[in-house]
Amino acid sequence: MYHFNQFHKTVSGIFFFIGVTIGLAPNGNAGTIQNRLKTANLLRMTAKQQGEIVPYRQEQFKALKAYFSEMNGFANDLKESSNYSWQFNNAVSWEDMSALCSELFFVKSEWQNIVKRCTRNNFFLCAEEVKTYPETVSAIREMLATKQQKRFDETPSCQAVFAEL
Amino acid sequence: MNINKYRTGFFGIFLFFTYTPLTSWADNSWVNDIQTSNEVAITMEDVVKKVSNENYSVYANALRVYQARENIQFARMNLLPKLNLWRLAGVAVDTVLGNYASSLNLVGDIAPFLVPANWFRFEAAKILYNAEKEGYRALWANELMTAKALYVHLLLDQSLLDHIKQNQKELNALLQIVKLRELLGGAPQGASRDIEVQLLALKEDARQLQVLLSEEESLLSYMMGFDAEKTVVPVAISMPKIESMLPLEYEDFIFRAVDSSPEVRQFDHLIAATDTVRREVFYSFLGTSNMSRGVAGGIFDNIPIQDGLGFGAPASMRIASAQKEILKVQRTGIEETLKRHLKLLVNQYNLDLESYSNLKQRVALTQATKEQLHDRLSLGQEVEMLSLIEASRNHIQADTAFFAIQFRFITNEDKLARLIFHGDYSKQPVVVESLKRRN
Repeated sequence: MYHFNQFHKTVSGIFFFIGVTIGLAPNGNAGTIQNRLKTANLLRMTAKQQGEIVPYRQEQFKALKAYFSEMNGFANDLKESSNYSWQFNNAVSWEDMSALCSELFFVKSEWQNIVKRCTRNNFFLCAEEVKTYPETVSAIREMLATKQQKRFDETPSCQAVFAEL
Repeated sequence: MNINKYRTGFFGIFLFFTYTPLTSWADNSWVNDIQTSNEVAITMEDVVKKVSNENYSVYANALRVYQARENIQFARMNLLPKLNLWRLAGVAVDTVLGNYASSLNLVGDIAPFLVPANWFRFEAAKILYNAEKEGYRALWANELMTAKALYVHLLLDQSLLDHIKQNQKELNALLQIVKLRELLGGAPQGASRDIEVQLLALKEDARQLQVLLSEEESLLSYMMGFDAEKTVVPVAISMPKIESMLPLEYEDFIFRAVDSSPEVRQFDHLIAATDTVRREVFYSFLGTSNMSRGVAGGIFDNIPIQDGLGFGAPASMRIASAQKEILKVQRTGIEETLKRHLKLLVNQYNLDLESYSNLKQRVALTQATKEQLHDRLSLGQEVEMLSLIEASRNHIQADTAFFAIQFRFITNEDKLARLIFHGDYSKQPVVVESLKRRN
């Protein structure tokens, strides 16, 4: 009886230890998601600031590329890893959707202005990712779970990414 | 005097009926001529599609990319144990003879993943695959640009040929008139000789253009992967609205030209791959890898790596560093070449924009002069024959220059698009799997 109790306690102790370890350990991916969203926000702010300076030169082109490429890469990572997309959904569910959209994305009119400034005659002079931004945002939206997608669609600041309000 | 007036009126009516508006030469009516079964009408879209899918150089390069990708798989699998019966037998014999240490030689076979060099080769294979992909993209874009430029040149040269034929018709009509007037006394002796000389020169121009056309057609047909028996007939393209275009600034294009350049990116990958070679030298005391770096890794083949860490290692490292430096210098060279090429293209583009309105005006003015002379002739007024010849020649020259500048504008626009990977060039070249599926 004593042996059984001892064994029981030991096994319980191991499970408890594992549970506490997993519970308290910083979640690498979630941390990455949070950091990535923060980075994207910073890049967006820089791109927005630089996007107002015309005509575009190296600094402006680089700032725009940095943000739009980051978003493109983010969409690709979500598409490629189901675990990463689960982490993203998990992070989004705790976030205020309105704040998230305004921190993460450009609204349509802002993007259109950038595209206009990137165009000379028939040529597009900014990075290709700038042109494909709507597809990138659609891809990110598609990686959201149904519930989060609904929240996204109902939030005005998220709607503004796709249509002029 | 009255007879002369009557004669001039008659000549005027004759000329009026034989005169055909010159604008007809540009409409590519020759495409609609009866085509033999070996003639294939092609559009610019066909050029893009066929060059991407059926061009021999593009296909060969796609296969090279395929080889580089398979090389990654080979490098990955090379990390797993392999069986070499003869070596195994050799170790067994050695062990029987009491030489147990020789079994350590089997590490490369039983546990190749314990040899760091194999991991570095695997990493290098992945980087070199990306370099090969960029090289392929550059070659595809160059082939496409050349084929598109050939298409435009074919159209221009065909238009010029039609123009010359039209000119010959007009001069022949004038020659008959001048000969008659020489006979009847309305034109100075020798005037018809001038026209004949001009006609012979035009005949020679037409012959040379026909040779050029057949050469261009043959090259385009080859680039599009057609059989030698086929003759391609390009369909006319719509001219850009040059009047609405704004002059370009070189500084606007630098970022995109350098950023999207596959040539620069290829060198970035090669520079990154040099680090794996350096690490390979450093960890050579744990064994070397005999695996090939693949098609793109040839540039690293001259870096000596000792089988074990010896006194030659520092020199080997220095050679690898120098190789990296060479690649960096070459990258800078490519960037500078790109910028200079871009500068020239933008200048040419802007000059063409400026010339366009001048040439348009020149066409209108020469046309007006010519029509005025013809009107006077048809009304029976005295017209100097040489002035009429001169007016006709001036108009033809102006028309030719006007059309040439439009075609040059299209070609330069496409060259700029190639430089910044815009339009048709923003697409990715096809991968070998889809090419194989089609064949």
